Amino acid sequence: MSRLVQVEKPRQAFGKLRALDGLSLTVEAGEWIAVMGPSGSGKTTLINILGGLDSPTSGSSHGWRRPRGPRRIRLVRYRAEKVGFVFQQFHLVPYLTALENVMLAQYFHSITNEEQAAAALRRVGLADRLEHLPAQLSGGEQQRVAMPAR
Amino acid sequence: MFVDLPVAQRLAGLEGRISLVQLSVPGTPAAIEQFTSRVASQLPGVTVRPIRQLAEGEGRLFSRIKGLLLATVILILVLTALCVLATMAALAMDRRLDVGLMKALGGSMRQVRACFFSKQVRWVSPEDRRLRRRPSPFGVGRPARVWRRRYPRLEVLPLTLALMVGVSLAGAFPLRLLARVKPAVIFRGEA
Repeated sequence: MSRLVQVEKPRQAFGKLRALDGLSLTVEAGEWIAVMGPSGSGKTTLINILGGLDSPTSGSSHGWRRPRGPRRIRLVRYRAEKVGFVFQQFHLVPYLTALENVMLAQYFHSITNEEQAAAALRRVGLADRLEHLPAQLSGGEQQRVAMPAR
Repeated sequence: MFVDLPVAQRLAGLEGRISLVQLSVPGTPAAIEQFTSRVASQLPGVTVRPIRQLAEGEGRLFSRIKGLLLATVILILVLTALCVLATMAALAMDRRLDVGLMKALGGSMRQVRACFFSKQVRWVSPEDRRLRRRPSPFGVGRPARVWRRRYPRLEVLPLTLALMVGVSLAGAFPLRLLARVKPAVIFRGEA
């Protein structure tokens, strides 16, 4: 199997607090991984580092097939092409409809396609919620919007 | 209305009698002074009195009013620029979560800036696309005609465009600060 993600002893500190310390992890293609631990054990910090949203104070982390190029551009392309996030708070744009939220992700990835975005929302059972704002959706519906939007 | 002196005298029934002759002499104050001296020397019985002092006074007043108007316009432009800059700074801070989200989705800062810039252009421009799209009781073409009448003087257009670009670039400055921040830091609420 090919390696998708490799993390080598990343450390992340917030002041004196060490959120992540010395964990090593390799994820192969096709593997399903569940990261479990008590509150404050560094799960979110680890996921942020894996997803390229944050960089560790020390140590290294990279997606195995992260695109080549200057680091800043690599990170942007890595986030756009290799990583999908459903955040704990969903982080939908509040003034965009469900459909527009999905199209926003399309815009940053490549080009927008309204039909594709609508089809993605229909697949998660939101055919009648395309034009609703996040505030008009339940928590579960927002989560389902976040899945195709990411 | 200027007419020849003999004609004026004949029309007035005052042939041979002159009480006042007014001459318009364009030129610098020195040239007018020279002309006055020459007339006075050639016509000994005539009182030659230049009235340029009054004209100069009007000119000075006009210059002052012009300067005042220019200063007022510059002040208004500077205040407008500051207002847009402050609004953009507040907007950038207010929308930092959106910026973080856009970056997390793989948006480059160029794309994020483009989103904000398009919004700025709408704010700064006197022509608002939403206004033109708004249904009009006068028909579809009416708002566009009203918009065209807003630019009677073409020389104002370059200034307006330059101002738009300048203010937009200045307004994008707060975004540069957010560009350096990592998405996770914004989501944590530290930025």
